Amino acid sequence: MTLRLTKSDTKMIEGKSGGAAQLAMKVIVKLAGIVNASSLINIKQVHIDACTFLTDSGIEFVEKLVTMGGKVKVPSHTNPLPLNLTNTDVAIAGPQYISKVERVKNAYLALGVIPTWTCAPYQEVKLPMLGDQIAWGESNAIAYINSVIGARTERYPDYFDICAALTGRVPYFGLHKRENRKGSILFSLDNIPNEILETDTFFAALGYLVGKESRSLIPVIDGIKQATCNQLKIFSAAAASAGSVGLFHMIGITPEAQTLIKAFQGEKPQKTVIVNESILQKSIDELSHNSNDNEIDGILIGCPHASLQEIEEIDRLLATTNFSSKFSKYFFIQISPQTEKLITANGFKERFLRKGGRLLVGTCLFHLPYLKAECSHYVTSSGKFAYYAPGELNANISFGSIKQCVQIALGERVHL
Amino acid sequence: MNSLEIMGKPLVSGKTEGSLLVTDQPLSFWGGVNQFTSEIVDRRHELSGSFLKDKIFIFCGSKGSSTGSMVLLELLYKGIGPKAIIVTDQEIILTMGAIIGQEIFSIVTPIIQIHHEDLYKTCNFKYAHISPNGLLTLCP
Repeated sequence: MTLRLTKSDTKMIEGKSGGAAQLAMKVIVKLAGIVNASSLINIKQVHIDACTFLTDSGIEFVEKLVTMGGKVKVPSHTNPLPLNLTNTDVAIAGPQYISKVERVKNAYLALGVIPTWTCAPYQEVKLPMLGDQIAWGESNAIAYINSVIGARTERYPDYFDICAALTGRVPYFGLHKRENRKGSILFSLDNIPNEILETDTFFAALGYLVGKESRSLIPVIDGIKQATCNQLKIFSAAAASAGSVGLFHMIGITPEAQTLIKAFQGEKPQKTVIVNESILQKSIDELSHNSNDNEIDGILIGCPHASLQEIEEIDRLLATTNFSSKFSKYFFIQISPQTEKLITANGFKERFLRKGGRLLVGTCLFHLPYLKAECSHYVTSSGKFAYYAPGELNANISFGSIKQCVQIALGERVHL
Repeated sequence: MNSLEIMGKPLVSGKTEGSLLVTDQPLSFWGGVNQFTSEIVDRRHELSGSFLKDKIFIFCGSKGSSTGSMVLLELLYKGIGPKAIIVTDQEIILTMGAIIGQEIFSIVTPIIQIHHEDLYKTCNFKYAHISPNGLLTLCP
């Protein structure tokens, strides 16, 4: 299919807007050919994921773009960096590692990014609106912004996010087009008790199941009565990790799914999966990994980065404990730099650190090689963390609610 | 057994050859492949423990993380990447890694798309030659 280019596209391809934009356009045009797009579209904002994973080739690539005069053309916020921005880990990370991350950070700043350093940008940036064309990386954020807001992005790979940011252009294909956003596979909830439907654990387990079963089809979930933004975050992250879910519809909850007919755009589902309590329990069990092998020695909350609601829940649970009591295990909470400012102001940071808690700010444990071996068995409320931890951290996983995680951190015996 | 030819669609074009590593399960390269060793580390995956280095890797396509492109690029940059990747589903994550590999580092790693039913035919073979036009020649 021939790709129609505008005058401005051609100008960039010819190098008249600088070498970085030219290289970026070359990549965009190649991708357009692969996906059979006949035109490009403007995008309003970008979420750059490529800054998170530290590789020598990645550093070389982004520094080359800076040397070529690259500057982002649209607001472009960033995913976490592979370094704890509280600077508490400087001694263990080592100067060589830190200097590599500094190179990454400085290169992206030189490109003109908005340095949010968070994997949950939907919790803090100026959100796009329903129907807005955007280019976001980070699989959990893609699923969230497409589904919960109804903005339109494809599941862009790292490096393409930078190219979109440097040009403000992407191929018009896939989830950018309304007709490609219709559901294909129906998940129908069957007799799940209300007390389970209300829990974060339910959303994580359902997300994992939907991701695994859907692969790259667009799932529609029917039977959710209500969902908080936090629960939708948990679902998005689990579904996007266990499968290739870039968009899901929840009937009566998400904006493109007021009804079944709207979610499927009038068509019939290709497949229907009945989700009952036992199937859900099986998913919860699968999210745990070798959970009987050894004792829990770590707790992790905040994958994706913890919201203020999650922090408030933890704060309420800690308020019932003794002032001087300390956590009996490593308790990690992952947050954005913006959230760190807020919890410093409201005192939670001081309360949490006093008990021996560990804050990971603007970063992610999966991307901190110097911390990876600290624990061998985590309990977590995060479906995404549970999914990747066995491979990434060589750790066993138990799965529980935030309340159960905090209880375990305080040394209480909890039946999960 | 004779060799078998399968015509694929080249997403990234190139010529190479190597021994096969085949699965019909999707795999996320980030979180699923170790960028220092090329080992498949997704412990829920049937190929957990296998290495991608120098292989012609045949599978349905990526799942999960958008960072797969960076893992692939790093494997190629360090010389421990697969020789080629054959997919059945539309695959832009790994394709992006291969495109950057080509544009920035002049490393050519063919990415070829084949029909889903052809994936199962490849299981009986051990080696393949890839041509720039997308032709796979599978050898026993």
